Amino acid sequence: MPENLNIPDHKKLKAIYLVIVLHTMQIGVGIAGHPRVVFLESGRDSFISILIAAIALHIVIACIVYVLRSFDGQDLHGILAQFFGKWFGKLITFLFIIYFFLLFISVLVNYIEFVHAFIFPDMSSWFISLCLLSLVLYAVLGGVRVAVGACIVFFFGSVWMFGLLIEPITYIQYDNYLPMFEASPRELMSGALKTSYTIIGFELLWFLYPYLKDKNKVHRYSQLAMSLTILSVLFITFVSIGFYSNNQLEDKIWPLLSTIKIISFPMFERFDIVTVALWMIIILPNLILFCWMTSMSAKRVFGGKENYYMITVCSLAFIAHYFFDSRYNVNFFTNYVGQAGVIFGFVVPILLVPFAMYYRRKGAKQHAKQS
Amino acid sequence: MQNNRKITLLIVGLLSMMIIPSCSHSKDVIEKLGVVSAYGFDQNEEQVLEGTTVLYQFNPDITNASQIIHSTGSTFNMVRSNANKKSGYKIVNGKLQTLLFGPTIAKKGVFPYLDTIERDAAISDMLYVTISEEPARDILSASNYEEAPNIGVYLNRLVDTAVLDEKIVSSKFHEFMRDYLQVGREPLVPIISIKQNKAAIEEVGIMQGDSHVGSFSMKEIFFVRLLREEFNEGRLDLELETKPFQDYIKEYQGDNREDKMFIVIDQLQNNSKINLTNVDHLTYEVDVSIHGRIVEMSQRMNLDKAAPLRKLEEEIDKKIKKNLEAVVKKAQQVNADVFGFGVKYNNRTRGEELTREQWQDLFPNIEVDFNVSTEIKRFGIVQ
Repeated sequence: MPENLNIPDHKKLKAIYLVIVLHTMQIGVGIAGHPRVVFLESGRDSFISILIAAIALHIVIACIVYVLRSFDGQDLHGILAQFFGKWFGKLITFLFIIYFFLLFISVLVNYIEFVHAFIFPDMSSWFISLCLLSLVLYAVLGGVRVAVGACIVFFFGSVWMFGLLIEPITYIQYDNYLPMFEASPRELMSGALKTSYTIIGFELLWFLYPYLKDKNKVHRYSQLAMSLTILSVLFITFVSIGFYSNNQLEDKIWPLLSTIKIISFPMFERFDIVTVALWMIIILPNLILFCWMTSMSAKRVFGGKENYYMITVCSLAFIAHYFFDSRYNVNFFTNYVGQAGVIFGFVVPILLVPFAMYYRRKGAKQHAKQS
Repeated sequence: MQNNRKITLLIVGLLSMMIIPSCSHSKDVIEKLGVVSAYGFDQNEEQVLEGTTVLYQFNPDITNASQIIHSTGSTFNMVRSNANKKSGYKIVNGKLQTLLFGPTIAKKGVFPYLDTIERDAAISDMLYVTISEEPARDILSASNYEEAPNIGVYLNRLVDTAVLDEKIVSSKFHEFMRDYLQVGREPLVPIISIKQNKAAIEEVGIMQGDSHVGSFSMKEIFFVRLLREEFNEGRLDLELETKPFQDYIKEYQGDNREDKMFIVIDQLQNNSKINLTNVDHLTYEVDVSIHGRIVEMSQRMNLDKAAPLRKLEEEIDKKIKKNLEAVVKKAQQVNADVFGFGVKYNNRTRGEELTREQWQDLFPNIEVDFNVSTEIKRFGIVQ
């Protein structure tokens, strides 16, 4: 077995953390613009698109767990090396590294767009990214346990934000949901594809699996995390479609943040500003874990120390975000990353299943021979 | 534990990063800002926008913290920056509460001036869009605005009170845009007028798209609201004929009985349902059920008995039905569907989206049937 991961028991995590970690990993910048993006494709039938994406998601998670279980505590790179040999395996992992790095940048630049649009139009991008990247670096250098711990703390720090949607719900016009079932299958499918950018992030399971203690519960908890994400996405889409009239929703770039714009408290005249600031809590787990995934895989491919790769990732991201300083570039880039997400997140696990089946059968034969 | 300490430090770092950047904006000190609470817009003969900016300052040293600046420009933002030439304070829009459009703009269409409000995240979606039949400049220079800091805040309170009191239909910017962009339901906006140097809401404007085409009186707007929204504790005063109640009316006042009686219902709640019964002929059936309690009657009768109570409910039904028919007719005359009949039509026709032009051809010819049922739940502590 090439490059086996030996994780000492005291560094391992409980599987139940997956529920929160995978969920926070999926919810990030995508969700703020998601209702519009899906609505543009499948109109009032966005629910169906999301449900199609949900079914695909659950199947993919089942595939990932099936592949991971065929091996004993390997991560994605270990599995790829097993299937395709050392060099070809490294090549595929390298593609994954690039993909994770692009996701990392897309989260960063999208958040910088939020800050520019909502709070500080004149704040320089480098300052925002410096703030974020230094936090990311600090967390990720602490190791995977700190990264996961931060996710859990930040999840509870941000989950109350669903309560902010109570006031928008009172503005819902139920006529906006009718007539239903108008979209063609083609529109529904492209809506489901657009949902993919919002719900990617579950690839983390490939890398976190070796670090988990009770591996027999992994499947249960990761499916639970997926349902949690889908429910959140459905809820937010439901509120946005009801809150805005159809043509209005098509105009709003970030329907979720615009929805929160109507909330005002005596001590907070404009709560959306607080929300965008607090959105940092939502995206930090994404950034931390994407950084960890990138540098982890880089270490597995190229060898060397993980810490150096973390610093490299953050510095490269700091340089790279300069190329995305306009809305057009950010949208263009995000769009392509979302499409890459369909391939790397959804297609690859399904492609790996036949290999895992073959491997299992071979293993069973060998076992039979030996006995 | 090592990890816990790291996570704690991470949170501290995060919080400081959320707070520290706000210190970089030291140029926006509140004492140096002129905070706009209302804008009024008119247009002169040369198609130039004439803006009236109402702002106040937070400087503790000045006694009269409110001022009004007149400026011109071709866009919303030009008006603001031209206003800033006449003020030593930096004019900011963050607390904009009321927009007032004078008749010149209201008749032509207000949408071109609303773009920046939607586009600029700094401006709230909860400001009120209002129009007036006198120039906005005159309305905003009214000097009596109660104890409010300035006329802009007063206008906001005026509209807000009426909305909370369920006297008018709310026209917050979000709601205005929602209805404007929705085909088949037109927005309604309050018309501010000036009476004895004090601004007041006298009528509600019917908008066709974004232009003002007609008005409902405050009495009529109750019935429009009955179809559009739900009342939680509405109040309705009706004028009924005395004749049908001849047998029940108690003879307290002898023979000088009038042939009209007035009743006031409050705590009124309603449930209105618009049903499209025939898609081809566009016939609608509207079920309105109302319940409330009587707080005032100008003629007394024994409501403890079933017969007079039922008779009263029946007469109220008839009266409300008559009024509902009148408001729908009025809306049809100006061809502005403020009730949302078009939305119901669009919901029933699958496949194709209704366009504004199509619905404007269809709306004047729709037929609406009303079924009103009133229930008097309580009538106070006398019979």
